[in-house]
Amino acid sequence: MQDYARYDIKDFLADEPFCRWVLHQKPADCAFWQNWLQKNPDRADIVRSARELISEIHHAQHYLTDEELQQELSRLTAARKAATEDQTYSEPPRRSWFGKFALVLTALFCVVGFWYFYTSFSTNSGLLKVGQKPLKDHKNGQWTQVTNNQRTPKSMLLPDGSKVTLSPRSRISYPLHFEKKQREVLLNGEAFFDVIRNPQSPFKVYTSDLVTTVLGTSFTVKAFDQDKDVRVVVKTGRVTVAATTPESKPADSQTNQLILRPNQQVIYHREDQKMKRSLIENPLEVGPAEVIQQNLVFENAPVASVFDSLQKRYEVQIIYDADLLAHCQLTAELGQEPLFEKLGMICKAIQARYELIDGQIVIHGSSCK
Amino acid sequence: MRKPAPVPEDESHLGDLWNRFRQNDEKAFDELAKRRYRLLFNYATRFTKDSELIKDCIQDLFLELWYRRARLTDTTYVTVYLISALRNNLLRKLKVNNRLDDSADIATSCERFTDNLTVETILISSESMSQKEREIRNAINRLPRRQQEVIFLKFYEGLSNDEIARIMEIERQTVANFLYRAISQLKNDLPSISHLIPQLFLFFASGSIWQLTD
Repeated sequence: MQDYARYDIKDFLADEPFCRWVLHQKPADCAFWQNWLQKNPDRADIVRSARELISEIHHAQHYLTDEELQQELSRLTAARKAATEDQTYSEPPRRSWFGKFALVLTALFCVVGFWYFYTSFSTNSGLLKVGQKPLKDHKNGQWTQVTNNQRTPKSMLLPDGSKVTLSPRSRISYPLHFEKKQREVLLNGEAFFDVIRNPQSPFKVYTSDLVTTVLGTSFTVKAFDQDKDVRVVVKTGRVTVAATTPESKPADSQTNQLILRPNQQVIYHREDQKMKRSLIENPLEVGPAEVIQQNLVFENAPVASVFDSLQKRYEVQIIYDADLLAHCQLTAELGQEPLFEKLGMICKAIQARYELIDGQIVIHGSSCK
Repeated sequence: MRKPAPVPEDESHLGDLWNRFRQNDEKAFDELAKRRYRLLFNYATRFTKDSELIKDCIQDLFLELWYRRARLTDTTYVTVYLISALRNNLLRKLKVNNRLDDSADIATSCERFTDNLTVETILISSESMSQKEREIRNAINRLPRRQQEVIFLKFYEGLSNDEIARIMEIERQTVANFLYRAISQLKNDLPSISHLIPQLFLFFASGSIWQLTD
């Protein structure tokens, strides 16, 4: 026990338990010092001065205003968000040239290896050719391969619970355990994916030309080696499609990456390596079945509200000049006929026409005054 | 008399936030930054008065932690970890910028080197500070840098001598010596506290806790 009765202010300032009491005010310390002060009332003054001085030294070292603190914290949060998106989304495009070169080399080795394996041992050799991009962690975990040689589609579950419907003559490879940061599968052929949502772990489908990235959604990828083009069709949610061709220059990565919404598809032409976004032939209504079954009824409704309802039902984008069509009204009942039929009817009624541009519907019309 | 504000005892909660943030919990990360930003900023003023440089340093520190979150290890004392990390970054950056001069008066060296707003000019109109606290601040700023650092860690954050020694990578006894010299210097510089130390003989009588080594 220190002989606190003989302490002067400097001693108190340097005393660890004393400082701890003043600055942290832990119950045990409080009890001790209250007790001690009762026994040594003549030291009360010096203890009070020491406490005051410590407190003043503490306050004298405040240099940050509250506004500055708030400002810096928001700046940090914004930077953290940007960093997170960087890490999840743009990792493939940000690969260095050397990395790309290494990947291409690995791809070559894998292709040669698989080809050797197939031609030497496989009974159904030559049925499928492997042209996929290899994945970074081929060496770490075991991969499973499923091939559908039947004539009907085959349903299966992936390790994360996502559903895959594999079309005939198609093959999918996936790790026994997905990585924490991303879920990667290789596809050769066609499959429909219904992916369990996980924002922390993007789901990526690699085919020979495209990589399709989603957080959780349903979509179809069709990439048969013998076909001239590759197709990705979105049913629900948002999907990012990027070309994986090594020839694509880094500067092109913007143009070689598209975001798809429901009822949109991207067609990648292998010959000229170009991606084109469009609406699928017969867009489907999105949403619960009971909503879909209800007919849309309009009585002298502004045509804008009709377009709005269609946009919501099909999650498509309809672009029109709201000012121009402000006076156009419509009375109609829209049922189960295809979207493009509905659009045709509406356009006929208001003397307009529609055009499909880049996966969107553009209405050209005139004033209904 | 201003009631001494207790330093929040949230270290155990901080460990929890640390572990959650290592597992990608963004909210935990933001909360961690919120709870320790002020401390780190005020600490950095012991090295430079360039507030923009300090802000950038702390921003870099947290972002680096976020990038490396998967590889960070469990730590029992997050505050000491953060202070040490910031200290290393600051010293490295200041060395590059040639702004750090251990022997010279830090305040004048900064005036020489930086055009940015300094923390002093920003807080000059601050009303939260009493005349006496202003005096104390000036007196602290006249101390050699490492003594300022000890005073800060001791009386701002309330760290123990052991923890201060670990952060500054010096012996525990050296911390005690720095502290002793700093307090003596403050006493000389602050006439208002001199009268509080009238019985100097008591210090010699109790003398055991000070070991003068130079």
